[in-house]
Amino acid sequence: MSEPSLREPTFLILTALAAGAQHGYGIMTDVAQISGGRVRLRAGTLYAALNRLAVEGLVEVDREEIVDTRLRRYYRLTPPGAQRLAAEVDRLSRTTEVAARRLKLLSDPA
Amino acid sequence: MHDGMRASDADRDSAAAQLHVHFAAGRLTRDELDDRLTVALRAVTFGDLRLALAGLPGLAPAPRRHGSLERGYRRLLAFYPPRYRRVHEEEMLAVLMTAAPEGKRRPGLAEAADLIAGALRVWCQPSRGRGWRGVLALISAGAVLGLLAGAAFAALNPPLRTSYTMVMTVAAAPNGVRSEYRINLPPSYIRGAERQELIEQRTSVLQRDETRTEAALADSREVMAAAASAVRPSMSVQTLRGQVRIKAVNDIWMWISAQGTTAAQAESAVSAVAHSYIAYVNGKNTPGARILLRHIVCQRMWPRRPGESKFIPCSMHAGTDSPGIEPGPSLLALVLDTGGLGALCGALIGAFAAAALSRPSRRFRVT
Repeated sequence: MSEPSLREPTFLILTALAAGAQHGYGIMTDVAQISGGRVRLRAGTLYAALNRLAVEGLVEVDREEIVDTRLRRYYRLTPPGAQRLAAEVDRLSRTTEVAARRLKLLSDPA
Repeated sequence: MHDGMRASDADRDSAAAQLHVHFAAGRLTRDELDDRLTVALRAVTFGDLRLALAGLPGLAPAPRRHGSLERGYRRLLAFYPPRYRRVHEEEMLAVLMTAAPEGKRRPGLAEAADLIAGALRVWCQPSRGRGWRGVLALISAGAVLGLLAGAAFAALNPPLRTSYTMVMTVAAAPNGVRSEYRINLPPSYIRGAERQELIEQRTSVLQRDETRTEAALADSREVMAAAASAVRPSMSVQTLRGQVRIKAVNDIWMWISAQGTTAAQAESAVSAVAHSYIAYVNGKNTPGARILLRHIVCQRMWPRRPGESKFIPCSMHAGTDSPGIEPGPSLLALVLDTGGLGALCGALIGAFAAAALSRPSRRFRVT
């Protein structure tokens, strides 16, 4: 049984958390950086995704801090979350490998 | 800060926000939060605020720089489910405020849309088995919207109504014998230029096909033109002909029927043609062959569904204008019919929307 592929924002959020626990704003800036500025998550999208990922057990709350009277909640990847991300990376790299190989054949038919 | 210093609205908001932070962090129970919020929001001085925050780690009330922006975000966060807001409101607000550029006064349109869409998604996400509430809310919202749309549609587009008038033509000579006619041709042939000739040649005995002649007469340009101007001065004969059908039923009955978007429209057309026909025949009668129009029976029909029709017979004597027709189904009944259908469709759309929203997000900004 194969799970459905992750959508890009979800994939990027999990990737951001793979580096360690991060709070919401940290995830947003990290996602922008990972995607080369292409994907900018807004708070509504991010938190809806985080809520779903938490319900699915892929992420969990790491700790809370209060900085300048504001609450910062840090999230981390759970072991199932890491597995899910690894599976997705595996799937993607297999696909890109095939694509790269075929492109090479295309440019170098001999 | 001196305890006797007067506190501002911003100070009270700040203290309330901090209490939420402490509640989220597990330092306060729900009841304690409520009690302390009451104290904080009623605080007059900083001493009162300190009381509200007593026993909690170092969060001195500090004036906020972005009061209006923060209020704007809080209004948007109010769209989230209460159970979610209790845990995440302060956290999300912190992210929003951190991400906001210096000097920003209010949330942007795209940001607001994103937060509302996010709220809808959270409502529909099955968290601890309560995501169905959001689904139900969307379905009922869809049903209500559908009901309103259906009702509005019914009110603006009442179904086509048809009115029929049966004209009984009884030809009678002064001596009590039926008048004589000679020529009977199908209406399609009679229409147009030969009409006048036909009328002048009417000397034969009433026959089976007689009403076909009468039907053609009623459909003639002259009768129609008089009828059209009676309905509405600006109405063209072509428009009226588009509404009205005239048919010979048997040797004594002729049907005139009309359709309109309202019963009144259909009836005014039918009545005008019937009366114009009567006036014409009585005016053109050759001596010794007078046609008496005994009576006109009118009926109304509402084709509400295919195969269903309701006839309401009523009698209308020649020359009278008010047929005294019974009222048909009320607009309210039609509105309820269509509104019910609309509600069903709306509920379905709501269910689909909920299903779509509870799936992983596809929306994100690409720059």
